[in-house]
Amino acid sequence: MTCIPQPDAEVLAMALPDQDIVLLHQDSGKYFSLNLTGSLIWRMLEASACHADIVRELVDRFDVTAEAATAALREFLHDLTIQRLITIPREEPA
Amino acid sequence: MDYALCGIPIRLDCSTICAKRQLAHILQTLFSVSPGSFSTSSRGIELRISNATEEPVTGEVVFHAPDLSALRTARGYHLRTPDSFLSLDLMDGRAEGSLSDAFLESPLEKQRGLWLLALLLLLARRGRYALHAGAAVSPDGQGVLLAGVSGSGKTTLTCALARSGWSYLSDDSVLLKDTPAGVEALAFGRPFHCAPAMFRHYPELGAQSVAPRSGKRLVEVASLYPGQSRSHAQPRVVLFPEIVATAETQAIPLSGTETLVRLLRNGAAKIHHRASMAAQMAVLAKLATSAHGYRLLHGADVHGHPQRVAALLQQLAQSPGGCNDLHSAA
Repeated sequence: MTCIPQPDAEVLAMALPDQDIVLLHQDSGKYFSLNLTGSLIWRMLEASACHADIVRELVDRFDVTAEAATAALREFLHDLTIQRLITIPREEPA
Repeated sequence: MDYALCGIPIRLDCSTICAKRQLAHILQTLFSVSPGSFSTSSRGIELRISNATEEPVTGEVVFHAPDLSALRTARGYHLRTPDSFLSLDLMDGRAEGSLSDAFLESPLEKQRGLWLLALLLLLARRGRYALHAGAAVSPDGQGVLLAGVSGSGKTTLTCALARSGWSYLSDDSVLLKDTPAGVEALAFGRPFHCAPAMFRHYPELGAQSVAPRSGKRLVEVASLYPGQSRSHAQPRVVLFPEIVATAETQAIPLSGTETLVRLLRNGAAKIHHRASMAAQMAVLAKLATSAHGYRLLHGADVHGHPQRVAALLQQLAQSPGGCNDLHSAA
């Protein structure tokens, strides 16, 4: 079973008309801007989408292979975790 | 007598009338504080200054400098100078503490850090959000913000615009307020902060300098540009100035996201209160959406031909978003 990362409760997300999202971590005061791809992934994380759904969406939207999309997603989630922008819930026993 | 700052009532509660007068004078000199009324039902700010002894305080140190430190406490912050302290209760909008005679009689630029931090934290809880920015209004009434760090040229540009007949709110700090008509900028800091190098191009500022020491000097400009001071404006354009080694000033458009990120950089203080952050970010996002952002690469013409730069900014303010990479000589 794969755990689905969730936006951290401390994070404020602000979507702008140009489709990008700006994130602000309320505890650290740090802010981040996400590009079109990052914003798409963030919206799917907010909707509790699973890894497979996100990869499928990336492949459909951006004309990349599933392998490339998976690697890019993994790297992006790693960056978000380092910055405490997402949390990965503890895996529940099946 | 009570006071008001950017529409927020302020009550000064001091142990003596003399101390209250002294404190009022300090705040009126440093900030746009004016006489006002205060009632217990108003969502205002109270400053209670007494001879109280500082109790031991525990909390996370969020800022530390030789002249000022800040600890985060359960109710807000505890601010401390070497011989004075203020304890902020952000929930109740109150600062209580003790200020030494030496502190109250020290030069204003030495006191400014403590007052600035205390007021900005208290005002943010009252819906007034700080932005490190100068602000000016064109002769035809268009508001322009000049947001940037120290040394980016905010004061120089504000003075260049004032000399060209524009009105000004501040050279360095404004407060933002959300209104049904849009985000409004409010004059906050009063004296201009001028690097002595500016006096070569603006000798009139040097004559008004009230703090003859190293570093930036506080300059009261009301008498230099009479009738040009404004209390508020609705920004149409947000400029992020950068000093560059070119002859002509140039404006480069920014997207809404780039504008918001730069506003956060100049508005999200290192010391912040989480209860205010969501509302502050919403106001900054509203501003980034309603006003047009530009990088302003300002060159030597700011000094040599300030009227050209004023004309460029007026053009931006009149038709924001419709211009690309405008030059001041165009």
